[in-house]
Amino acid sequence: MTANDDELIASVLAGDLDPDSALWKAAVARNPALAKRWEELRTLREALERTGADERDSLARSKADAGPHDVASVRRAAPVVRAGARAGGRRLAYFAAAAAVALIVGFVAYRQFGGSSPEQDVFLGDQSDAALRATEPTLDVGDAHEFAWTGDAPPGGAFVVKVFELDAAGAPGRCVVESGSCTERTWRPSESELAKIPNEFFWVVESRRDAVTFEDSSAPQRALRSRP
Amino acid sequence: MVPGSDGDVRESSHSSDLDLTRRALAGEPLAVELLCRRLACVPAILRDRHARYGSPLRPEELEEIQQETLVALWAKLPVYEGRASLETWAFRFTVLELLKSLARRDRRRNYLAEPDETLDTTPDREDPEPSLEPERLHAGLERLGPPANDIIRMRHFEERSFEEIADFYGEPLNTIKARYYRGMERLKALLEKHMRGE
Repeated sequence: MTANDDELIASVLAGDLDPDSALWKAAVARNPALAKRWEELRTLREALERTGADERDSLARSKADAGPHDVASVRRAAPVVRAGARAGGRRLAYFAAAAAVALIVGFVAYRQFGGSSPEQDVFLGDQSDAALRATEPTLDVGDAHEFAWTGDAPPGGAFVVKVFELDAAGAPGRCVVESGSCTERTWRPSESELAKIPNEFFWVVESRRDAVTFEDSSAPQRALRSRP
Repeated sequence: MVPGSDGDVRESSHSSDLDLTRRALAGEPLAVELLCRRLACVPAILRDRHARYGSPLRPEELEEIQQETLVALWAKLPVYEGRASLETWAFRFTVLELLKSLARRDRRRNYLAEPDETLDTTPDREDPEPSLEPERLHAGLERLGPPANDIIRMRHFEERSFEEIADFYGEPLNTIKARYYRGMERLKALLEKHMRGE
């Protein structure tokens, strides 16, 4: 195999030289080993093209098939969420212990006072899965004067609203405004904060355990200031 | 920007995906949320490929592999360089993880049944004849390593022209073509025994 043969086969493989060209046919006639190598490379190239097409089809199908359950699975595997789940597990243990004490106290009170029920809160489960959902402003109707949401913050916790400008691709970019800690489910930005909010923006609301430690986030909400 | 030594890219072609990944890894909640939505295709990819391999796993086994794959994917995200889109990168990672899991499972079963036949790590599922199955090509490309495997993937899996690849790497067109050719020759050598059946 000469350096010239190498160049020729590289050119054919890259599509720069037609395999039906007289130059290539003469080279192959002169060197049968070249024909064998080309045949093997052509087979490999075709297999790669088949695999590429298969991969693109499979990915397109998978993107179309992915649903909210899959988002939840990815979220559960995220390191920050797994750390939170461990903390949630500890909280659950504390609540379970408190509930057990409450049940014992309740049972003793029932036996002692002839069935009168104690005024105790009963723990009904870990509330950390309560969905945090941004509601207002929504696309095309918001004036960005008030932000509202549903969902709960942990006991003693708070909410924080973050407003993002859109990047060049139309995805959330730089955070332009961040509220202070909110204990209600609404936030009214000040005039100076309002001035920083662009006409089109994304926003999320986060719940925090102790005003600092992240607990949960709403999905990003895209909104348009119709009355700037 | 990614370091520009020989074989590395000068600039990421999916810089917004790379930026999103970095922000998520830094713990920015919005970025984490967006990334979760982008990577929601991973469980669906596992289901799709599993069906393609003839659904050899029980639902609980597939669920277990899904959890392992997602945890491994998050652990691997710091090395994502934005050379392909997040979903394309996740697709390759997921397919390899599924194949590794299937190979481990086969080894365990073969070990229990026939202790001497435990070494073939490439599963034969639909086509038992020697051939260039996608799984073998993926395994071969992994062994080939960068930048040749990236150039071949860009060319055939992402359908990019040599000019686009050269632009991406910031290298002369002929350099990219030469790397592609040498990569194909090496890949051919790596897959030689499987090519006899083609």
